[in-house]
Amino acid sequence: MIVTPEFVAGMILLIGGTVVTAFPRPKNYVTQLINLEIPGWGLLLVMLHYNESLALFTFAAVSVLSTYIFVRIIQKKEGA
Amino acid sequence: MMWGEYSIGLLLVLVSGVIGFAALAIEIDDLHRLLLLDLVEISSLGIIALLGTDLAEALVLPGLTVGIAELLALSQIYITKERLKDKPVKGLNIEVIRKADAPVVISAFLVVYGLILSGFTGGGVAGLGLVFFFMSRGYQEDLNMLEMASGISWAIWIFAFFVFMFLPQYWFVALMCAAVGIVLKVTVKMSLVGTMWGEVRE
Amino acid sequence: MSSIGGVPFYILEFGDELVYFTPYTITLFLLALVFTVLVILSRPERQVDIAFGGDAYTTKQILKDEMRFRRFMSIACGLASMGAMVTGDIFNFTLFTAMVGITNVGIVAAVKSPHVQNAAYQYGLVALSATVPLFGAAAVYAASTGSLSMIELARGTLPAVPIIAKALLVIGVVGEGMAPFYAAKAEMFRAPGAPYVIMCSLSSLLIFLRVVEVVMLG
Repeated sequence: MIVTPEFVAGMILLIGGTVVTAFPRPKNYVTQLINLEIPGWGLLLVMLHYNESLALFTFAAVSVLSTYIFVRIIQKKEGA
Repeated sequence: MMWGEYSIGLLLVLVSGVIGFAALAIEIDDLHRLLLLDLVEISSLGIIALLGTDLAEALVLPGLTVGIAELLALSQIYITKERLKDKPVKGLNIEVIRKADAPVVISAFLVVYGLILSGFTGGGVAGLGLVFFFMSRGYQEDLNMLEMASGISWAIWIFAFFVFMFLPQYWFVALMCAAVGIVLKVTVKMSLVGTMWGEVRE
Repeated sequence: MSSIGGVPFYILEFGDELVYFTPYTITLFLLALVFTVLVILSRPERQVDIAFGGDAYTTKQILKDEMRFRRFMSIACGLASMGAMVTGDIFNFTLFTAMVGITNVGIVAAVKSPHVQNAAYQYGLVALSATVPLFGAAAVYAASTGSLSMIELARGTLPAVPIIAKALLVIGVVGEGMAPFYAAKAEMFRAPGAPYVIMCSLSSLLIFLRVVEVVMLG
């Protein structure tokens, strides 16, 4: 069983980030959006451990895209 | 420990998925639910990525495509449902963004990154670069020609797939056609999403 | 290979993904095909509201470009269910199911009534969080047997698939659209414009029938 630091760090970020995103304090949209990056980072570290480079690049790109979409929605919802 | 690395990893990712679903069940507000949906998407990608083989890499990419497609669809419905479509959003009025060179560099980097990645997600990133460029410079375009171009490029992509199946000796031409076609199509779609949602510049 | 659907007539190979036609899958495929052709050829019906206590009725008009968009979404849904009926690969099946979920949302999304849009949004949330057990099931299939191909699994030479993977696959399909299981999908039917709306119901029924065969294969 080869347990490298990035696997352990990735798992910790994934679990911890999920808990923090699911119950954000204070509870508004922007906080939850920022906390959404934390399990994303954990997933990137896990992919790094398994050398899945293409999945890593694509997930980073898709994360950028979905953050942009969320920012537009939150902008629209919370007014000018 | 009698369990190997895969079992522990699978257990932890499943626990995080359960936490996400529990929060989704308790939540009442719709936009919070949309954010939590993205969270459980990360759990599903984690389960696939833990396999660790080349097959897992090949399976993660369609999973990401499905995630982005659902996000686009649900966000459109959310905006229509809450009647936010015509609500004006103040454009960025920061002088540094309007006049300096940094947004051009960032947009150029995103476009090149998206072209290299190619495929649906690459087109999305390239489109994001273009949207950022338009937002920073304040253009408002008429986009009918772009829609027609995107439709034609999608047809080119499908044609390239047929060449793959039935004439595999011309695979390189088909590969180039497919890459260009899909990137063009998704880029234009992303730009449309950005500019057609309406912006008011003051 | 002989599965519970019968001996396959023909196996079409797209590289290493196999499309296989047994009597069972051909029946489902033809059903989806016929209904998609019907959707292409027919005009939308107008939903009728009858005034209570008399014979007067009003009909709802459907605008032309709304009809075009919904017809396109119904055709896409029909194509996705046709693909899901004959595919020989577990991951293809999950992708087609996710596509059916998204197009179902698209079919009713163009309607302007707020009640229907709210129902479509809630349905979209559940259907798209059901992709999580679907992908999880495909990953566990690949992890425990090393193969995602249904023909390999039916041959019986690979290690047995754990029951949790089959359960996750069924949960995913149920979450995507089995109508008795949640009310938002039934509320979506209040949208005017059959036969496009009926495609929602038919596609999830066909996918459920196919998943029963898939689960009994391995």
